[in-house]
Amino acid sequence: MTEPLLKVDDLVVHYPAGRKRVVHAVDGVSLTVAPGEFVALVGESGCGKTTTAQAIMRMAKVTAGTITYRGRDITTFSQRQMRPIRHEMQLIFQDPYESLDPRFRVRDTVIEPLQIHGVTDNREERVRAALERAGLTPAELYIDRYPHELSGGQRQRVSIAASLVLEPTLLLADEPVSMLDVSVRAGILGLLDELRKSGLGILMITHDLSTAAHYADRICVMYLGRVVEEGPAHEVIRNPQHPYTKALVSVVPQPDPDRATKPQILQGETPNPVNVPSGCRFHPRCPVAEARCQNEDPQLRPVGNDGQQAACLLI
Amino acid sequence: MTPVLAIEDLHVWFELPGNKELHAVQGISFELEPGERLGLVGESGCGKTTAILAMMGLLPPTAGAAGKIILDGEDILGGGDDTMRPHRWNDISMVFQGAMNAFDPVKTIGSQIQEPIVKAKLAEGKAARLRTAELLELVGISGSRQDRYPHEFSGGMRQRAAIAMALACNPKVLLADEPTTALDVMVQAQILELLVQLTEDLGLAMIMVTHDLPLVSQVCTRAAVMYAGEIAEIGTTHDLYHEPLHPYTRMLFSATPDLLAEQAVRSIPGAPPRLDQAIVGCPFQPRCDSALTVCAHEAAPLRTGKDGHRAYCHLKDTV
Amino acid sequence: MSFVDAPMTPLDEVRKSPSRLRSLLSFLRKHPQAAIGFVILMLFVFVAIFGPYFAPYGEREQVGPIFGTPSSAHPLGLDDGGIDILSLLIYGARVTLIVGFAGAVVAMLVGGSIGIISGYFGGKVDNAMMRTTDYFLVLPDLVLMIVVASIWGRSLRNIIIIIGLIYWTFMARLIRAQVKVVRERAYVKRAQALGATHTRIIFKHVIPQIAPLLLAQTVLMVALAIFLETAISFLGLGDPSVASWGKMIETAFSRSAISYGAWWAIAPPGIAVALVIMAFNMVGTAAEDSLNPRLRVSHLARRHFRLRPLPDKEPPK
Repeated sequence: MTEPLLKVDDLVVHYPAGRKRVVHAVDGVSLTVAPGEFVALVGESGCGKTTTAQAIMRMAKVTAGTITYRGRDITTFSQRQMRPIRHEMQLIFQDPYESLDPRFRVRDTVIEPLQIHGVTDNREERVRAALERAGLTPAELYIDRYPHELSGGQRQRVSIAASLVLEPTLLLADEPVSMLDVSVRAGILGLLDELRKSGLGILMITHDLSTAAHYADRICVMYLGRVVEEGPAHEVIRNPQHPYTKALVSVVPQPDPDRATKPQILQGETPNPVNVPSGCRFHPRCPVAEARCQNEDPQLRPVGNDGQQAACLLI
Repeated sequence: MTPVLAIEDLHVWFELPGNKELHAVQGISFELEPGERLGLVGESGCGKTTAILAMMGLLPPTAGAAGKIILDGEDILGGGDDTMRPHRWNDISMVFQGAMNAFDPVKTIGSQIQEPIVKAKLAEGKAARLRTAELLELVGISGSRQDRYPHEFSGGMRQRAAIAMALACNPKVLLADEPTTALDVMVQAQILELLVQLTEDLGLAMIMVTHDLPLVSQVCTRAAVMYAGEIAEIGTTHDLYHEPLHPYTRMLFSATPDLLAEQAVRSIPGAPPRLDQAIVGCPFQPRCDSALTVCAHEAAPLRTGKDGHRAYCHLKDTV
Repeated sequence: MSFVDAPMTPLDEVRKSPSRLRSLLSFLRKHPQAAIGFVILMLFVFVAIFGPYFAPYGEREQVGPIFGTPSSAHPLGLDDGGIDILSLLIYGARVTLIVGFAGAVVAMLVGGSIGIISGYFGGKVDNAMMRTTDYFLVLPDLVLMIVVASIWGRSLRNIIIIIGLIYWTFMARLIRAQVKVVRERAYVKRAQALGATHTRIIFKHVIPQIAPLLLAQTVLMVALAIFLETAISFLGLGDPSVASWGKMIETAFSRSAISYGAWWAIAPPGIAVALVIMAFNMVGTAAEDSLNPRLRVSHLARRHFRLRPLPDKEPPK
């Protein structure tokens, strides 16, 4: 088995929230991404998926746990030590309209990573190659444009090109298509899929289970700072083990109006990460919770087939 | 049954600098029965939000409108703002896109919901408070919370409050513009369940504007697919999925990842046409995978299926 | 298979996008007051630069009696030393405008730097700088002016320093607020994620974004600086050897122009100051309006759309 590109072990990120209160943004998350693997980190707002990505990029302070990149423990790396890592680990943002500096032409945006990392040879070539790899062919058509002259999908491709120009090994994509039109999404996701096939590891953060189901190799479902279920995408969607995953899968709208779904709509909303419930953090909303769920905090254990894991006392 | 709302050949133009204009809505027509949920689906720029703003008469001074908006038998567009204003909120109201973020942060939720009630002279003082409490209960919020401020509510609850505000004057038609877009999937399910329940309990007719096709399949009985300011196809959600008459409908479904199906997802190449220039032939032709030569020259004719299912397309066989 | 979206606008249309001149002209059409203000300003700047070459009389040249009345030879009359007021006004323009600009630039540089550092770094740095700003904000302007003038003497340089000291706090707060907004934008975070140094981000991403608004506010600040200079000179704290408009008013007052009935010794410099400040304001607010979209409220106007007849159906080809 190839060594994983990224290994996150028991990551904890807590923020103080004034007067002895703590935001438990990430409360013990473990995951791995192997080269050529597409992992989706799925969950609703407040589950900690974005904070996890920020911690991995070392843009948020890690309270506990370890982040290992290509065998090296980068958890406590300073910004200077992170520089060579940042060469290989790139982040794609959600908002194509805000992630490009409106005063920079496409060339300036894509060349910036090269300038920051002191890559001086063949810059123009590398920029063109990155643009074409991101699907903007011929590069000449786009290279002198300003962001406001491009569509949302094109802007997102420029962002991706700027990430590719340093030839990274790991791509973190935070909701890469949620702000794009439906007809354009498949193109961007298809591009990510091709990059995966060429050996990149991809960690995609999304709230859209359908997208995760289609493109990811593995899905990690997060709730209130923890991974409650993870496994091969196919299994997690078709054989969800954790009650939260089951409910989530059941409420995703189906395009076929005749496909009757029995949506299991949970009441209320995800609690504030300042007040994490005792025992199993999902027990207040869980449709099958028992008495002991209030007292014991379940850990991820293997369930089902094929490397699937879930954190539930009742399986 | 007579439709509660009938749109006949609605056009909307926007003035652009340099003596040009944008033809945002290019002659749409459809009917809405009482208690019906109709989806208005399309991507950005197709004109769906402009269309429902026109139905509320909330177009800016740079806009021009033509056609008929027939509410309960009366053409309310005909007299401009003068005929639209009396019906606004009383008979037809709207939940705007991002409504949950549009509450005045320095006033209580209750006082904001009371505003339309008092303005329409339906009640005042204590009676208005009572009515507000009733409305909040209707959308699943405890009536006693009407004295709280917007920041004390979560996103999902604020969206419910926005729906309560839209129902304040007992309208017959509710227009919902992307009502669940910024919400989590579980909260979305809650809000959709609420909307379905409200239309059934109150006999309310609803038009839901969204870009999310599966959502429409789940919540609405009929849907209209808009493209480049026109209705490309309209019919029951069953027919749109199983027997689409327009390639755009089929391709849009293909571009939407489906949780359980194994079919490949295909994007639609190209981009929608500019609406500030006249379009020759079918507007979808440059991107259509089944386009015929005639599609580039002649406007698409009407194709009909059963039960009011219709589309504008040159193709004769099922797509 | 690589996939391509069609470009939003064809390349040749992009090349024809409005030139700078055209954008400027359309801006002036939308904000006529900016055009008027600009013309007035240019007039004063012209007078300031070239005036001394064609001023009718010298700066210290006595050409008539004390407080001589306006006449055809001296349209604005004479001051307490028999010097032609029109000429004084022309010479004074240079001083007033230079001091105004310089003072505003000092305030902009000091306040801008502090605002950028404060807004960008946040946290303890921000706190420390904002507390310092608060102290300066609370200092009474008048007292500060008197203290500086008495300790360091009355000179043009000191006036400029005073203006900078008093106004940098406004700039700092304004700039800090804008920098905080830009700092949260995704492209700044992307640059950080790439490992860009703070210097690079500030100079390449932050400053270009705030520069237009910064400039607009500096223009407004010049108006304030001129006003302050006039006030300083009027209070006798200004440079006694230089004739600025404020000094002219001060001299007139202290030499009892009023009891002489010599309104022409007071009114012209006062009107000149008022005109220049108004002109700067007109240009500055118009620039600020067009650069800051949040100041636009026209969309809140009444909804009166137009009704049109239905278009004819397209004849089948």
